Amino acid sequence: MFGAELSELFMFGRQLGLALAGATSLWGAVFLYKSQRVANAEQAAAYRRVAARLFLPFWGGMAVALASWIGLLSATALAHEGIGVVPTHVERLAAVPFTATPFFVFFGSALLLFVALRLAPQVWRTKAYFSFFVAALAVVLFLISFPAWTGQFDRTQLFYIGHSAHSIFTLGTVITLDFLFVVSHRSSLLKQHIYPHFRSISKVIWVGLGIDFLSVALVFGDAIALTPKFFFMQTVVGILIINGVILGGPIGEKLLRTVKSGARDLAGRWATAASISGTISITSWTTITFVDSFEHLTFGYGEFLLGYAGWFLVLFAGHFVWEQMEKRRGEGEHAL
Amino acid sequence: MMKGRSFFTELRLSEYILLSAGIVLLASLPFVLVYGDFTVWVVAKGLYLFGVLLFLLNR
Repeated sequence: MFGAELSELFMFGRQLGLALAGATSLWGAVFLYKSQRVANAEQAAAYRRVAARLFLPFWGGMAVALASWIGLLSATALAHEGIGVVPTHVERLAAVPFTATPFFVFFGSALLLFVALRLAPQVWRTKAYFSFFVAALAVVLFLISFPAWTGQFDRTQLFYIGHSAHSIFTLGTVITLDFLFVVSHRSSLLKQHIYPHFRSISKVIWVGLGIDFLSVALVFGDAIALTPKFFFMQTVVGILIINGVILGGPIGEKLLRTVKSGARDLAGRWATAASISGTISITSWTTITFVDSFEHLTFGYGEFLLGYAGWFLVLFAGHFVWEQMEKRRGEGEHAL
Repeated sequence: MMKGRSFFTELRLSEYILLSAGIVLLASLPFVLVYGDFTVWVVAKGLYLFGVLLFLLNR
């Protein structure tokens, strides 16, 4: 349908799941490392608490990746039966069996280790969780780096690595950032200690997009086709950069100042701007990753833009509902 | 006027460069579409990488 194949949807799921598992491992490790380095006990506790909460999106990402890999294995069997697929799609499918086994082993051992660590004594749990996140990041980074296999380590293969692995630092980190915002929202302690790190997190997102630009430079000329998809993707990247400056710059600083001043939330137009800007960020990254997973979409530029706008409205409505629920919850807490 | 940084008046140098990169990237698309000329597009990407470098250096 619309030039899309089911296996491409699974590839999107795998990319999304791994990006999220990788990003949560990265930030879980960072916060646990910091918790062992700071002298302030309250700050260390905030870091540990946030790192523990990151296990939720970590396992969410792992579950999505697992389901997608199982789907991909059946798609690989179909492709071997002679269904016509374009070369790069064959390369992508050819990589599936080689990375599937390591992923299944990783999933099983990570789950066993996680359960064992939950039963471990509290005193050494922080160090054990830290090691867990570091090991998970290393494995996920390896697995996500091979979305396709050309048969040799040439420029194209390096492009695949950069073009895929950057999702940990971009898509995955953007979702993690939003998750951190949500879990910190109702706790002034978490806000105070987690919000100041948002600028460092946005640095990683900028670097992630830079990795993608550099990887495209490796195949520039060979890989670029002037299709509606190309123009749409470049438009979204342009929007994303402009939005990133506004969100990470003035809005981010305003958010930080609000927390430092002891106020509960951003006020007026700043709150609206933050909601719109945050939604544009998530909309853009999910759209880019989703559209990139499909090679032969038959949409025109206008249709792509319409889909993008529609997805933005859906996410914005979700964000609005969540905000209203948070407000009510907050009012309930004040009443107690 | 709000105290502190407003939307566009007090951006850092790196943020100005990144903002310019985004605008130049969007502006480059008609050139690519009509003439197949990637020069402005490549400039936008270069500008972006330079902006990120400055951002990492906290400029």
